[in-house]
Amino acid sequence: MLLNAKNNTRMQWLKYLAWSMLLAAFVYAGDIKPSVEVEFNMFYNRNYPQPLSFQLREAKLFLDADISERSAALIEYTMKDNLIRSQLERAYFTQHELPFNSQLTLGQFRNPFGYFDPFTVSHSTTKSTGLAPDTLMPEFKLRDLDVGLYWESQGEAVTFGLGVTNGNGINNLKDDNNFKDFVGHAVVSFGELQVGVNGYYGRKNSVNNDGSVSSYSSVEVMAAGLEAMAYVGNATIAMEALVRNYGTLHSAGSYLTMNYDLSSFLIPTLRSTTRLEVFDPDTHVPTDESVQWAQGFLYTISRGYLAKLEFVLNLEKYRRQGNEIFFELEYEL
Amino acid sequence: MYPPCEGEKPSQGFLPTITLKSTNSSFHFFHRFIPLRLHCVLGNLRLELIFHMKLPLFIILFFGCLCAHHVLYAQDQLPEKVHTSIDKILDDHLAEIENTIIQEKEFDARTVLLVTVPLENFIEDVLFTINRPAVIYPKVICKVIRDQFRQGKSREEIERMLVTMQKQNKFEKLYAAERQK
Repeated sequence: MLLNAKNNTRMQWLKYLAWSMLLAAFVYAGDIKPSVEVEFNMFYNRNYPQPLSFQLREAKLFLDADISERSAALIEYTMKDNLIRSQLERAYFTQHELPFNSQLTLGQFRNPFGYFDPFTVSHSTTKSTGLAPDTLMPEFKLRDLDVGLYWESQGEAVTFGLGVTNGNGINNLKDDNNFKDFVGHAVVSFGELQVGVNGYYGRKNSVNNDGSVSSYSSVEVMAAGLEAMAYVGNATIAMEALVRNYGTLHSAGSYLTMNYDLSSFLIPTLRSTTRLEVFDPDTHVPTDESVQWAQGFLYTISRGYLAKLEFVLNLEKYRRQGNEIFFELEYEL
Repeated sequence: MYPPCEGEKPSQGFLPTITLKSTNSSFHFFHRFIPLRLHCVLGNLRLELIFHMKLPLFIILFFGCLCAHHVLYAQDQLPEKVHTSIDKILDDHLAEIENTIIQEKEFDARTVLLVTVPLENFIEDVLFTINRPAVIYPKVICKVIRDQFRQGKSREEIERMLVTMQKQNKFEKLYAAERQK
């Protein structure tokens, strides 16, 4: 009990120290680049009480600072769900151009798993898919954020990284175990094709019956992924297959996504994005899989203004009613 | 005309709402100046803003001060090298390159405007999805675009060429060559 209290105080001090260091870094930064993004969308789903709906989906505040030629810091603060939910998303310090063409990141950052946003590239209109970060599925939260230290070496042919993290998700530096979590990522490039593997091993807090993460009783967590990305003409194709064990809960998923630039032969600044995703939240339950196909178009109206149109189709028979059409306007300040 | 929305439950479904509420008495002063409800032409579209704790306000103020700092000390010239993992910042730098060329009035502004969008999309596709910071070389990119327009290349050709150069890491090589001179 006494030991726990001591640990908590130490964690608090560590947190204050980290914040002070980050703020000091910003104060002394040479070039500070603040930016704001606001996303407003309209969507149609015939199953909702009001089929045609509007939403101020997300507002993001960024602060990117070049402290020196070789070091930088970033703070990202996000407000979601009509600005009701808000949190500090990322806060880290990076030292670039270290030996072996490597960089070191310290703070709260996204885990270097395959492709962070499996849907697309620049802000999809729907992020609520099973494999996407920020979903309710705790086993896939590993893709989300942690507090720790990450070292990565980037070469022409091989890129690899190793990280040590602690905590239990966003803004939660302490967990109820003394175990540290380990993250690994390696990618090999063959010209315009990249193939990689990623892995995670550690202890997280257990999961409640409603799917939320408990604050007690740690469980063993393991994850492994296989990823690939290729550039073919005007298209960028990416895929990833993942398996996760969160205590006794086993889940799996994969996706294939293609972004195609239509600028050169249709309308300037228009591009298409297609995704097929398969997700099984619990491999022991036979009827919970979802297969989703999404087709989107993204048009840059002018600098700072983007229009997006997206169709989301659920291919599983019992989920087909959940098909949706989204139209989104994004404004960057 | 409209009843106050303080204490009202959040609307159900997916109505767009921004609520202005405060649990901190120090904010009550500001309530007089900010309308609690802004009814729009869309009927039941209500805007409510929530400040339910001090931290978000502090962070917004913090960002505001830094924005002011950024505006006051904005650089006039294109930077040589930029590291970023934020698409908005990437967008700003690429827009600055286009503006620099447009202001020279040598080429048609409509042709130059948004010429770097495919390059931006490619960088976002490849780097930002995998959480890697992008390194761009604004001066080099600007020089390449200007030279290509002078050679009479079409906008589509330049767009394609910028993406190819990024794939082959040619901007970095040109930057290194410039520095060696």
